[in-house]
Amino acid sequence: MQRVCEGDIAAFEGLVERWKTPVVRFVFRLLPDPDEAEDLAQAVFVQLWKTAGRYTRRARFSTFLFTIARNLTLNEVRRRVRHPADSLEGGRPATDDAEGDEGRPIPDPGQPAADELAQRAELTAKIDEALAALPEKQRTALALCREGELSYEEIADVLGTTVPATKSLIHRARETLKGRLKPYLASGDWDPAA
Amino acid sequence: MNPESHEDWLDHVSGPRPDPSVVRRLQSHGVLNPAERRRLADELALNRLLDAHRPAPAASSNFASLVVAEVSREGSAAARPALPGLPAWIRMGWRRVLAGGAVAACASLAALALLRTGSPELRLGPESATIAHAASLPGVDAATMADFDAVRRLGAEPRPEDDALILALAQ
Repeated sequence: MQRVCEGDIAAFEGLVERWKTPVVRFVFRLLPDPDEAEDLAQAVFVQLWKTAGRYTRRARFSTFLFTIARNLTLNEVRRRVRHPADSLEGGRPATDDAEGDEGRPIPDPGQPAADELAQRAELTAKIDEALAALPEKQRTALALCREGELSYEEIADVLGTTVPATKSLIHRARETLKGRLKPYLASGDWDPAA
Repeated sequence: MNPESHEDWLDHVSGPRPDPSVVRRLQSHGVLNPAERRRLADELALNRLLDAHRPAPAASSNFASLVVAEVSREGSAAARPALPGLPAWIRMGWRRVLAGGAVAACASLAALALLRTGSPELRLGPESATIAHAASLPGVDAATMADFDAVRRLGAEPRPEDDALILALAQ
């Protein structure tokens, strides 16, 4: 990171390669559209380059990076709440749900049956709904924990809180999810009979 | 990791990257009591559900090159971090210097303009003196007299015949 601070573009590219997947995945958990998540993740790294001068050696790099990622993603989420029809490029809708699927490939016979797909779609919608209903801090803590490859300490730094408070956020989020998704948790898999 | 207490194993299982070998050990008989085993099963079930939910996309192969291209496009001067290691107020200093310079330049121009024009009295030339003299005559309006080239061309020193001309023009 010190080399990046000095304007070393090759070092910066190396950092991007190392961290691109966790950042894309983290953004995707808060903004569940693959293309939008990738665009926003790129913006995160551009912002990292621009603000590298503010980085101090005492801070963990992951904390610095994911603080930028969190801020940009939350800004985008808030912008969408204010302007629901907009996307980053003003084109595609924010979700990849069943509407507007003219371009989707026709499933071949080896693919899951229609009713199974419908069940999966229902489960996906239920999980989306349960995640979306979580308070922002719990949702972010969960996303950082599962996708950001961060330790509890690093998550606490990003959220500006303590490790015990971070663990509490994650545990509360998981308790809420378990309560809302109880019918599907019997074995950890989709259970149509539930 | 070697989770000893209830809190430790729960933190491990619900935290970042649970170690499969630790999970296997927890699942083995006799490590946890029945209530804890049920809790462990619930936590692992939630992990599986979340893992299977909308698998997160991998970043595209040209992700890094797109980012670097964007950084380059925005211009190395604007994008490159300025003087790392210096305090923020120094790094921001050039903007203040620029703004201060602009203000100083404006102030200098204003002062120069004032010096060049001088005091109001100095700005009165011979024309103004003539018109002022004309306006002092009875029944003559200074604004009207200023419209006459003939009046403006009169000499600074008033002469009797000039007064007659002015009075005639004022009729």
